[in-house]
Amino acid sequence: MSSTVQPREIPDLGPYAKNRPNFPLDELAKYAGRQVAFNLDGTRIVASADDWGGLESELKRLGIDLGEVVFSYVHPLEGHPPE
Amino acid sequence: MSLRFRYRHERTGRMILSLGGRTVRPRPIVGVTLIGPTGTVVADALLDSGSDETVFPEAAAKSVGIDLSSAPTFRASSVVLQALPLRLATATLRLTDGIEKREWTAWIGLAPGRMHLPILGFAGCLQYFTTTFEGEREAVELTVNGLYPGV
Repeated sequence: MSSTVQPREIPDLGPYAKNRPNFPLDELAKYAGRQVAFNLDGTRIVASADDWGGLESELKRLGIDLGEVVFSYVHPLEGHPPE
Repeated sequence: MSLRFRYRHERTGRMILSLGGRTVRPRPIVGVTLIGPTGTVVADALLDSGSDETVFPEAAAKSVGIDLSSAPTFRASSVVLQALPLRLATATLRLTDGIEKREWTAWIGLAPGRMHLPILGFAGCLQYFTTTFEGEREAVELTVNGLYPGV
C-alpha cells in the first residue's frame, strides 16, 4: 500500500507511550465500539471506523498516512452487546 | 533494563461488581510497531499470556508488505481467539515505553476478518520476556530473557 512509510521511517512511539494512558476517558468513551486512529503523540483521535479496513479507508480519505497514526480500539460499553 | 507500561483504562458505563464498583476496566494494552518489507504500522495490542501466538489482522500484514500468498496456515488457540485459523509469517516487532526500546524478528499469526486489537501472545513475544503483571499497581513490566533474539 503506497500510504505506508518505509521501514527506515519507523515512528518514535515514546510520546505515545507517555501520553496515551492519560487520554481523557470521557473523550474516549465517545468512540465506544469503534476502531480508532490516534495521532503519534497519543493526544488526539484523528479518525474512526467500524473496523480496521474501514479505518484505513477513512485515513486515506482524510489524506493521513498510515505511518502517522496508531491503530487502536475502544471497547463497547458493558451491557451493550458488541456489533 | 525493563519495559514498563501502565494499564490502559476505559469506561464501562456501569459499575463493575467484581472490581469493587469501579466504572473503568484496566487492561495491559501497549503500543507495538509492526515492521514489514515495505512499510510500518503502529497499533495498540493486548498483552495476553493466555494466547499461544502473537496475532495481527491480515489487513495490517498487507499494509506493511508481508506476502501471504504462500504463508502456511494453522490453528492457534487462545481464550480470545478460540482456535482461529491463522496464516504464519515473519515480521519485526518493536516495543518502547518511551525510555527503553526492544526490537526483534519473530513468527506472527495473521488473522482473517475482523480483529479489533492485535494480541501479543507467547510465541513471537512473551516467550522472549519475563513478564510481570502488577495487579495492585496496574502496570506490566517486561524484561528480556535468554531467548530474546533482538537488539
